[in-house]
Amino acid sequence: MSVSLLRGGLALARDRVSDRDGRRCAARFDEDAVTLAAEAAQAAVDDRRPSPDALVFASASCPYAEGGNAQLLVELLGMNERTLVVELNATLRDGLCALRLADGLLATGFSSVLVVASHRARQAEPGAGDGAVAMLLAPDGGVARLTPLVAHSEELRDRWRLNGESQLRLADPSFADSLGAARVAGELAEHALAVATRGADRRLPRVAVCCPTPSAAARAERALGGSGDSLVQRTGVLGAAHPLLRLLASLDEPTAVIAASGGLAESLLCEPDPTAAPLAALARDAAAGGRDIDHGAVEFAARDFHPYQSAPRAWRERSQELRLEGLRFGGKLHYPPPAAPPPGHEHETGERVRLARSGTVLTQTRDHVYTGAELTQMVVLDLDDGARFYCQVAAGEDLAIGDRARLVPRRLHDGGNESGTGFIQYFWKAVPCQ
Amino acid sequence: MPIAGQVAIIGSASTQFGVLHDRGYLELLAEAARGAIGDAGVEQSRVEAAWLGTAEPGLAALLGDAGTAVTEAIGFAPKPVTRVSTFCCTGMEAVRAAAMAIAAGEHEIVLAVGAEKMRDVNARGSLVARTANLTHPTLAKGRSAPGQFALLANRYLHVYGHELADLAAVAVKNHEHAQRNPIAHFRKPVTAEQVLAAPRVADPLGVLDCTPTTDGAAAVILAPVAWAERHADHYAVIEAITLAVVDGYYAGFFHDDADYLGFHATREAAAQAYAQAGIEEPRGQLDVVECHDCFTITELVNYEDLGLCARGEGVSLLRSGATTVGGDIPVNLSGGLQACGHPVGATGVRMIKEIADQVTGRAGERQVPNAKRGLAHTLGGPGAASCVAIIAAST
Repeated sequence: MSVSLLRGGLALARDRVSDRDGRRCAARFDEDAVTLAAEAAQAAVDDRRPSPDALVFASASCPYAEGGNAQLLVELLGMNERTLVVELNATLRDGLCALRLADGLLATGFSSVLVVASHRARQAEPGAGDGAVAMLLAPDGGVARLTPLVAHSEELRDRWRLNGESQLRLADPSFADSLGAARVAGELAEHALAVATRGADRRLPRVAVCCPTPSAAARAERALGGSGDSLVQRTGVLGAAHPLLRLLASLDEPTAVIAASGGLAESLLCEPDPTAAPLAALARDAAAGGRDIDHGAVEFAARDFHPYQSAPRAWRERSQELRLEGLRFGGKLHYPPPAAPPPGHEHETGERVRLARSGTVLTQTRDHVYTGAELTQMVVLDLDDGARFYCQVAAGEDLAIGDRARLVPRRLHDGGNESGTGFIQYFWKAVPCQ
Repeated sequence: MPIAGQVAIIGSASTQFGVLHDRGYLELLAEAARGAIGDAGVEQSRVEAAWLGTAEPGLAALLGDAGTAVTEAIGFAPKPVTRVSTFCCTGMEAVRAAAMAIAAGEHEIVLAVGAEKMRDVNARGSLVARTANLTHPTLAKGRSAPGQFALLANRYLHVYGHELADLAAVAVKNHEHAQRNPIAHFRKPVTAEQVLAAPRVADPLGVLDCTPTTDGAAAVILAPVAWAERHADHYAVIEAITLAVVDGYYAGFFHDDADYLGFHATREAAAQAYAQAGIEEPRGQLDVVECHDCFTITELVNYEDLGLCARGEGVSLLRSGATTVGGDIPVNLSGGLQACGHPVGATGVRMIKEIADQVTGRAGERQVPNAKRGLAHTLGGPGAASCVAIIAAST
């Protein structure tokens, strides 16, 4: 079986930091695996098509260890509530597993599946970067065919994290180097390439290997005749999103993508049409882009900040704050949705409308006192659909009156411990239109 | 009977405004209330009901969360006491509610007292923390009080092409005025250079563009004008007192009818007050104004919203000197919120007292010669509500 890639999207953290491990995408404090995934998925979904039937989310750095993350993506993307969501949360390999799972779902009659993989690196995660890649898949009609090849599983751990721990544990480097992901990737590749070239007229594809350690991936790839991962020096290893990034960047020629982490590995053959080349260029340009900053500008810690939270309220208002929907009465769009129909429309229910995601800055301020640790810029936007919106500017960004801006999902806060809830509050922030 | 022209202010008092670590909420409330009763020359037993304005009881262990605080502070049992809260309009709204009771004929002598104890917590732990922590978890999350008004400041400077120095001139004027006000939190003049060099709070506003965080209380005693004519040593007449509520706490920032160059609530409250008082040309018919200068930008847009000048002409009015002591329409001779501070529930009552003192010739060094009619204005919500009172000398 194989699937067709309809559209792809990327969200690489805009900031880039450089250290002894190279240059990598570094998310700000208000970005996480969910916001990056949502932003990538926004670029991959097609508003003219029906909402995908399923969403497969792969990330080993999900903000919620239990309770689910993918349902947030359904809300932030405005997807149908009947969407099947599946999460894969183990290793970098899961990006390719998500594509295999999508292949299976499409084979059972689903009409389209959205696959999103993302990573938000932890501290002390050497060589890791922050970013997400999304792919909209269907049985056919796209720009490339993706065919799952062979998988591998053995009990070998070169990096792991126990339940409740925040930081990774790493195996002895000599063990990892000699027997870890590079060996597993190499062994899997032999089988994968045999499957990929089965058939009379198939040429041996290019090979792209992804491992959590760039040096291991490069060693394995070169052993298979590949040229090495030129992207990783610009982005860092993007966890489960990295195999998908390499897949997108390889859309100019047939490529077998191998992803291995510890004793788990997966492989997939990508066969692009010529029409896929612009998407490959987009991926490569995104990896090469970004804004170089110092390490010190990345993190942020709020002071004396214990905001009110309520799980019932968050559920009740999910339409307005995650889906960013208002109500239209008599041609006028109201946001936030009014508690009751406005005068003159008392007997109407109103039309639920997604707010425009872009607009123009009417006014702004940089607030030095809000949470005490860093500037919080607030903007008032006149959205393109006529609605008015007031929000924070995303961390590290800056807007002036008259600037064009777009709205992106971001973390606002984690709530207060006093309320006993402490869930992550997502909302929309403004960033400059690029 | 309507309020207009029928309700008199027969007594008033204010505590010192400042960081008053040595006095608690109830002590401040009691000092103001008892002071006003004494100023009116009546026995406390003659006061039949009270209205309490306190906006943020959460800053003072929930004291002021209900009218019972008045009973506890001055021994008012078993008379009715009602607490009102309308953001920064709270104090003036307490006076309006008390005036309605007089106008309705329900009571003969009533007390309106505003009190706020904001500095039992540190300045950052006061309104900034409350706004950051207790407000809606997503809508308008990230705003602070100065940040709300800074949105106007930036828009105003952008549209009209003015400079930061024009904002600073408001602070310079009001701090100059405050030197003659013994209850002001700050009584030292500041220079434009100091205002501009002060640490930034919410661009373009710096510390000296902002009202300080202040403790204080103020009170007035009200009675029918007919009673005052017979019994009061001195009194002023409430010619109008209005409250306009135009929006909610969160939603206003999202409504596209706001131009961020002024406040609809002020324009509405002023129009109603001018209609009640028969004022057609405010600048010519008012002798003195106390307006809500919580931030320097606010005073400039207040000039315009109150009709003292045309929209966009606030800076020109300020530069002309008309609003400075000795000008033809002096504004905030008390020092305003800029120098008096802004104990939220007390502010509107203090303003009413200031104008009543002006029109009764009791304003001391701040007295405007022959002042006959003045205006007091508060703005709250932020921008969702506004109170305007017109207070005149007795005829």
